[in-house]
Amino acid sequence: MAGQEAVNRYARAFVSIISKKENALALYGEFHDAVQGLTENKAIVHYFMNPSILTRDKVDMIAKMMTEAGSDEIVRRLIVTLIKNNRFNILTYLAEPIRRMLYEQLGMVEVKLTVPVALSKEMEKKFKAAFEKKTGKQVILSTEIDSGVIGGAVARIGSLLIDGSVKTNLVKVREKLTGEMQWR
Amino acid sequence: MKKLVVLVFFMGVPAFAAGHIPEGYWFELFAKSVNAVVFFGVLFWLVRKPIANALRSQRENLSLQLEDAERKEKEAAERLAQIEARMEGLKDEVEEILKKTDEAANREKERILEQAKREAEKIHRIAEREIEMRFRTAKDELRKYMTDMAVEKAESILLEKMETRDIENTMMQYLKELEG
Repeated sequence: MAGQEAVNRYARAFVSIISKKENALALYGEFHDAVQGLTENKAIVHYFMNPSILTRDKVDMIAKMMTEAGSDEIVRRLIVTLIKNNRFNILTYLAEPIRRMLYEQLGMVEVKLTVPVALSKEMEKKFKAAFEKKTGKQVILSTEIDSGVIGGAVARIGSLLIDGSVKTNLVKVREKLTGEMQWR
Repeated sequence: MKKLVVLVFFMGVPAFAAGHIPEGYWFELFAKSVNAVVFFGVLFWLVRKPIANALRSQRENLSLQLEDAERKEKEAAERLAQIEARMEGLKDEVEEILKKTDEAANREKERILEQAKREAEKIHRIAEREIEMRFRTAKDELRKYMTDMAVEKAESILLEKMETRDIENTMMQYLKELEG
């Protein structure tokens, strides 16, 4: 990945600014949408990556675009700074570390829950409460439906994996049986 | 010299045989005799030494050859005696060599047999281990296959038979475990 150091540096700076705001999550959402809008359009990417176009023109262009789009001042300033410093290439890689750092800063944690069937609102609340109790942080719960899990659920909290799926239990049973055989 | 006188005497015999002696015959006979005596004398004087030398040389040569032949004969006899003696000893030597060869061959035979026996035992042990290992592997593979089959079957049964309520129960179970 291009300039991991730079990515972390910009992410930290942005997070330190928006985390003090009440609408920090909304600002992050706005930044995320802006990044998506800029990087999904090939013409825009080519324009901002083109070295023969003056940086000043690029800055003017992005400032104009974002003003017209009604972007927040903070978000606009970050993106303008990136373009001014010829760092458009790291834009795509910024969203994830910003989100992670922001959640950390706000005492939040993202939990990705994989379940075999859709959760009811009540179940979702229960899961959220259970994860909040377990982590001691505010939980942002995102669910994914995968029938391959068969039963139970699989939760990923950062690098921590809590796998209580029937599928994994079956795999464990198989491993246990084949493992026992190897020792005989 | 005697021989020369006899020869001169017989030179006059043809004149006696003819019955009459011509004139001047005796003088001529005498002259011829003198001539013959001088001739043979000169001849004798000339040839005597070389012939004597040649004969002496031949004699000496023959003597040397004789001595040489005797010496060689003696040597041959000695050699023959040596060879005979050696031949006598050779028989024993051959017997000894044959005996030693026999013993060595027997020892080698025993060694080879022993080695072959050890090799055979080793091969047997290896084969036994190999069979045992393959048997164990096959057994493990079979059990693994059976386990896989059983787990796959269990999975397909669960997917087929589990209803939404059952699935929700498993999720509730997970939640309970999570809550501790």
